[in-house]
Amino acid sequence: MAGKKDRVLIINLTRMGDLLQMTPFLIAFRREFPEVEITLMVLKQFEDVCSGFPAVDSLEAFDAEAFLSRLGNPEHSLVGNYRELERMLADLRQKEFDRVINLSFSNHSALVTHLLNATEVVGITIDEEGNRLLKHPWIQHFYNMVDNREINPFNYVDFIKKIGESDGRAAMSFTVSQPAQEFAKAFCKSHDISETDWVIGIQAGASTEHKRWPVASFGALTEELIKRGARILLFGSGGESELGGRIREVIALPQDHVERQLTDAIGKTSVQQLAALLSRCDLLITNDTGTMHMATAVGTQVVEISLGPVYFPETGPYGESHIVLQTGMSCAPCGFYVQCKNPVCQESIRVDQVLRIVEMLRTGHLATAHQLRNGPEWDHIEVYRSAFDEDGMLEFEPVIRRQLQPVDLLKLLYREMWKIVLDERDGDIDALRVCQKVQRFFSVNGDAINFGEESNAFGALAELASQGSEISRRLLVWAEQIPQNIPAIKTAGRLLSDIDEQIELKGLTHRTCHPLTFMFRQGKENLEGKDVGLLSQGILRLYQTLFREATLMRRGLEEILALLRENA
Amino acid sequence: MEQALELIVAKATPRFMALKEKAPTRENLILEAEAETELGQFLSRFKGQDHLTLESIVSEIRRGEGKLTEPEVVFLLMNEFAKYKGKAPGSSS
Repeated sequence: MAGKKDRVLIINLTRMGDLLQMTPFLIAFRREFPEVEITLMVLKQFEDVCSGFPAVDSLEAFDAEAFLSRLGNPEHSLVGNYRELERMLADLRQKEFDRVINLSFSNHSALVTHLLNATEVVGITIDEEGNRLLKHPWIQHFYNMVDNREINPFNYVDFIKKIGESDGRAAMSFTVSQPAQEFAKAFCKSHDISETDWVIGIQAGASTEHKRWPVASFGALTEELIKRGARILLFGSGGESELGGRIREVIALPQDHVERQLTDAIGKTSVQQLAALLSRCDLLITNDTGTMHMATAVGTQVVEISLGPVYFPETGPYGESHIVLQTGMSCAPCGFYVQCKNPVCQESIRVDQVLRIVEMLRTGHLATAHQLRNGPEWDHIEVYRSAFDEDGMLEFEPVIRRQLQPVDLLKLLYREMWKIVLDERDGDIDALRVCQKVQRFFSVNGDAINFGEESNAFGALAELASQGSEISRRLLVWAEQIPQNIPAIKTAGRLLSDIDEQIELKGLTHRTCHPLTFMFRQGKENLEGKDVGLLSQGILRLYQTLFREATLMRRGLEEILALLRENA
Repeated sequence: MEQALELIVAKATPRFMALKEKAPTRENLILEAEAETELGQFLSRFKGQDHLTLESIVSEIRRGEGKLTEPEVVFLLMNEFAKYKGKAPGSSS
């Protein structure tokens, strides 16, 4: 990759939360390539967020709001708008980046990446004919994640690190400026918040209604926390300013007491000031929000309430010992495009449950590895604690000990398998390590462990992949003949098409196999060029990879089940 | 129903006409881009289309085959931004 004084452009045209989630990658990347000059391209409205980022040498801020305003203004012609984009691209091209890493998952970032004509590209781009290209196996798996959420085991931050090819453990990071620190000191002083007070931040808003715990619940929780002596800081964007009043309305305590204990900072801070106040908090209780990520970046413990389409393994707080509460309802998380008419999950997480978690955190009863017994007080809720695994990647450990479900085991298996395959490592799934994790976090009923159908499905997939490999090898020979054996190539093409249909069907009829068949299809879509020989090599690699993946899963499953039955 | 439709069309027609009048002419755009530039040459291929909009350009690009030229990719980029319809990418939904 890049050597001394190479120039790297990292594109991230996303929101505050996504930008903050990039910081572990920046730290790991800088650690690995200390001499590289790193430029970060972001949307101008988030320039302030990036001012606290580690490892970045310079910023390129694209004013998308101004450009959109031009597009909507008939006084600006098509040519004028074109020239505006041309200028932006020319400014970037002048810097002659050796490598472009696109960490945005959007069409416009893919087009920008393509237009920069860099020598090396990582991330999403397009080919010469405008087809989307996913230039990294971990990016292909990211799209797999969207389609197979319930079995996806990786956090978004770890995807970013992998796509940027930076390994090793690194936490989220944000440097609070000196003026912001002064602001926080003055703010706390003016509201009589002392350094020994127990300060809890509350983020009651979220980008969509569907993701929000009811305001009434936040209000009731706030009342209980105030009774227990907490100083409460309310956070949120300017658009959420009415939430402060609504929370106050719910609290049935003397008004002067509430005014003393509760401080409303909703819409009253810049990004830096928000970070400064969050760093004063002992805890933040929040929906899935950018504020949550800022809190983890400044080292404040988080309790996340994960609702609606939020799937905390993907986007949960990145760091050690954060807590996530998720509804135990079977429909969670809902699909990205679901418009739920009856979001009962919002009511399923009770105030007393959240309060109990907060109290246990305060007294240290939720320390690492501590588990809670499965009792009626934890009905309809799951609780998880964040931790880094042996590879420096984030995982969420169940805090409540439940009976092992098939999806739990499959998630653990897929996690181990993808790490091997996507990182191109040798070896097998460490069945003993997975077994130990299962026994540490779950109750296992030996009689109930039956994954025969899953094992057979993985075996059938491996067999199809093996057949595909065999035909692809022959196809390669025919393609390399001069002249090419066209009839044989056509026959091989038809046979492979049949096999691919069967592979696709296996993924559709056995949900547990779908991540493998999805990746296989993604791989085919990312084959470049029209040369039959090169395409044959590419398709052979895909079948061989699919064979390896399916075999690893089948073998790993069988070994782990054998170990669990031995110990049950 | 027929009267209602006539009323709707009657009210709508001036607006449609106005929209068509506002769309820039191809010649004007080529002049602005300067005919000898890459953009000017790209726009000159839209023969038979007196008025050009972003939508009509992108529609034509999508019908094409083979490698994309730089002007084509830039217009596709413009179109991607236009999809945000007044709300910048990265804004809260």
